[in-house]
Amino acid sequence: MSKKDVLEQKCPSCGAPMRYDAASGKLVCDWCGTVLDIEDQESPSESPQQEPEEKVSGFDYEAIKNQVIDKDALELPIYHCKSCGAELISAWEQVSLTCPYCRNNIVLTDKLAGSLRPDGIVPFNISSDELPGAVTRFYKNKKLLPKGFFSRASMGNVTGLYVPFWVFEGRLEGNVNFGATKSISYRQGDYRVTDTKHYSLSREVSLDFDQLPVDASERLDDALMDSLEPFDLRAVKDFDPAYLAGFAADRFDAPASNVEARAKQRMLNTAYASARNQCAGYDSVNERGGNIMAQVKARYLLLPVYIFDIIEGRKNYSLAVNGQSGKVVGELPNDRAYNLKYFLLRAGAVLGAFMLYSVARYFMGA
Amino acid sequence: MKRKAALLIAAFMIISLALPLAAFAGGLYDEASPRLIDSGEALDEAYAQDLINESQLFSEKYEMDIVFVIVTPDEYRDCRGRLGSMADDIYDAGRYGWGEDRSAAIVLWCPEYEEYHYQAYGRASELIDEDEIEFISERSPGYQEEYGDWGVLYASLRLTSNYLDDLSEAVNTLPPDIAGLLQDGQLPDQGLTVSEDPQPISGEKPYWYPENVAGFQFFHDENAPRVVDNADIFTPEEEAAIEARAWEIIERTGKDVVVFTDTSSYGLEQNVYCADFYDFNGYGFGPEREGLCLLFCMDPNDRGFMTVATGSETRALFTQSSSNSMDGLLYDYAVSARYGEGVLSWMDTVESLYTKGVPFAPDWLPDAGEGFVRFHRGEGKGPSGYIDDKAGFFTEEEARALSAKAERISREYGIDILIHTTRDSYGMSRTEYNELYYLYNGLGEGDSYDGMLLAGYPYSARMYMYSEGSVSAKLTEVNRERIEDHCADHLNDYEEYEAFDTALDDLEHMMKTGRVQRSLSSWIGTGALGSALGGIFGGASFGAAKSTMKTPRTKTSAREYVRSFRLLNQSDVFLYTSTSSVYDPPQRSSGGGGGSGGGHSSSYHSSFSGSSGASHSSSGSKF
Repeated sequence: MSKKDVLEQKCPSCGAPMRYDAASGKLVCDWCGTVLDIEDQESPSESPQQEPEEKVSGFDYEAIKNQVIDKDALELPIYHCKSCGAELISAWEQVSLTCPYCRNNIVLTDKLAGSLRPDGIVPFNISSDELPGAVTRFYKNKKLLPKGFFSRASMGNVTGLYVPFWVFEGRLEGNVNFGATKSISYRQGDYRVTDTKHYSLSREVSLDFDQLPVDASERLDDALMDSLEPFDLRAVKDFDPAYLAGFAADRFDAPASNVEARAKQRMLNTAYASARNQCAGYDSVNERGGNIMAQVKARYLLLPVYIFDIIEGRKNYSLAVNGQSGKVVGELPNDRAYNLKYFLLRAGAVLGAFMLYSVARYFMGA
Repeated sequence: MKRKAALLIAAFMIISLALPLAAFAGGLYDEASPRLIDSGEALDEAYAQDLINESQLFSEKYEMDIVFVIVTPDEYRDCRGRLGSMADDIYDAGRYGWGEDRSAAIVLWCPEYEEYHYQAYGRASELIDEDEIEFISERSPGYQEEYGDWGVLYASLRLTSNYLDDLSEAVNTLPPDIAGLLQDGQLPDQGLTVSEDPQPISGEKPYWYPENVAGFQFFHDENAPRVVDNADIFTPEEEAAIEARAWEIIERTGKDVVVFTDTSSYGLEQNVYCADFYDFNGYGFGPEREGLCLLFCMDPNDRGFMTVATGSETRALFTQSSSNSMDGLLYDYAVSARYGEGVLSWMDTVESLYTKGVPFAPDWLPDAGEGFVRFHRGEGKGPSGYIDDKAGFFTEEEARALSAKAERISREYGIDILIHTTRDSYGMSRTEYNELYYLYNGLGEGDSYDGMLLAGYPYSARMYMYSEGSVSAKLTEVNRERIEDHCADHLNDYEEYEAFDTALDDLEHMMKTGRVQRSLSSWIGTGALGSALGGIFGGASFGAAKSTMKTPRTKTSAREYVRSFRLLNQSDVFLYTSTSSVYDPPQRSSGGGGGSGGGHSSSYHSSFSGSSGASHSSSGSKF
């Protein structure tokens, strides 16, 4: 194992570890109350051993992947906590962690160097204190939530995590072909005649997409990450490791083919739908394929997400919160028995009221 | 000199501009719009010009525009066969019409689809009523075979002009006050007819036909025979019997009845020929020459019979329903060449029609006009239950059982109950028949004639009911439906006794509690309906609640991230047309009258004119 460089944010007043405070957007020392602006911070005292390589523009995964630490490697990197001297081994995708011994916030700079350095970061806007309220609002008005769920459930450990995303922009251009029909009916003697005219349609479209995020972390559920959209990318800041203080962070590890394919498929689906919308005035329109070319490029951003479980008895329900907007998404309990009871109660109430009404009318002679 | 010339030119220009304006103001139509629209060039130039000329003459004479349109197959398909809408579009686009109200008739004819449409606008729509339009629409296409498309359009013009001429003549012969109504486009309700195209007899005329029809004066000949058998279809005995029967009816009712047979109608429509025979031979009694005349035309190419009614009273009795029944009776005899028998049976229906208002009347129906005093059948006996099983539904035992039950209920609740079955409602509606039966058979107890009639008819799954007094108050629509419902299953299975037994039970319960019991199946149906409603509501509530329980899903669209969209090019290429046909015959209207009875088809005309101009009704059939 080889020892690697780390970055620690220390309070200049008392030397305690500082953390990034989402509420104020600054670095905060919980010991002496010192507050520092991130922009005022100097470059880290220990620079990474690797020279920063020229940034690869566009989404050139082939060039970048050479920088990826092989996760099957037998040798895992060892990091050294500067506060307590503890030796730390991280998961290969982790770029930021907290020392389990002295709670020091550590940034693993080798995983953020050169081409691995994110193009930007959206800092947390929601603090962890606000999470219980957000979760309560999430569960409110969910009528199919089993009774007593709130009283039985508890919030598991909350992880504030910067999730790696590739944010795509691109242009799609090409043809989409359709078959369409128009019909008219008229009477001819004793017969009703229907004339159907068949058409071949072609629509050449061009669409520009912007700021389409696709999460690049294999370990995180794609559905969960997609559901957290939208992120307001106008709040993107230039990357500074100081933002990571107090939060975990991952770097991209999803294969390029997956990420780009997902992005392109979403764009293609939208392109085909837009072309179909241009086929008005027909009784039926059926798609017959097309030829659309895509030119895309991407930038690598870290976006803020809180991840935690809601534990109810033996069941864990994974929730995620958009660390910028506070949007909560996640699994919800599905109690079939409760669902059936919900339906039957309402159906039964209407049936009962109707029968009562019918009986009353019968005895009134109606 | 120059000044004079300038003045002349100016005057000429003013006049040439003013004349068309004056023409518009005076109501003359715009000559620029074509009066014949023939985009498919179906007509030769000569025929087309002829129609245009006729149209102009027509317009000037009647102050009404007339436009002809020959519709191509493509145009017909484009308008989806709605020629009425096409006529409206043409009328508006071409700005046709005479005068301020733009009086016009638009005639459309599609030769390929053999579809015809006649539309009137403005004053023309007031003058030319729907019956006449229907008549023209039925007649005109018939000219295509012999005269081509020109013939169809020309016939439309001629029929319209004939109609308008008759209207004008009818005005001239009427008292001034009625004439005024007619000129305003309103026709009095009765007595005034607009003649069809009278067809003068060409060539040989029947011996009784007047030389001068125009100068003919109506007369009454008491001695004229009531049977004139020119076709020799009756035996001497039959002829004598018919003559005697006719005079019986005349003496009893004061209305005439005449039977006339001939081998030809001399080119006239049979109803016109029959009417002419009646009018020109002094038949009919009273100022309106009341009476019926039956013609048997034995022309091998046009064999049929026709009944013509004259006079307002007779015509009021000779409804389509009555005439259908009478024609049905006569038809059965005519097809089997039993003419004498048939006429004698027919004369019974005439007597019934004259005396009771319906051609087939039951014995208990009093004569019309007779003073009827309502009575109680069971006078002195109190309320009773009766059974009158004319249709033979019940065995003796069943009849006794029903009678006993009816009697018991009757005594308990103080109402009359009658169970009546019959195979014949004598041409009346069953509801009317039941009501008259109740009335004229003295049913009902007490001052309010409390009682209930339960009636059944063969092959009918419906229990008919009529009630009065206290029973009527309880026989609400709901109760009636429940009784009918309970009986329907039995009647469907030809279980008449069970049906009437059930009806009596329901009646008893209704008299006791005010309501008829609901059947179990009815409650089950209500439960099912309630369950369905509950299911819909429960499902909707559950669906709404479920929609808030969405779990995370991967996104398939990037619509929110579209910055710009451009449609660079589009092309729509027509490939081909496929056609499918479904056999779907439209409901045919009877075209001013027509019905069926006894397996034949009757043609009924509520109003037409004979050659004398007098108004008649008619009904008849070919055989």
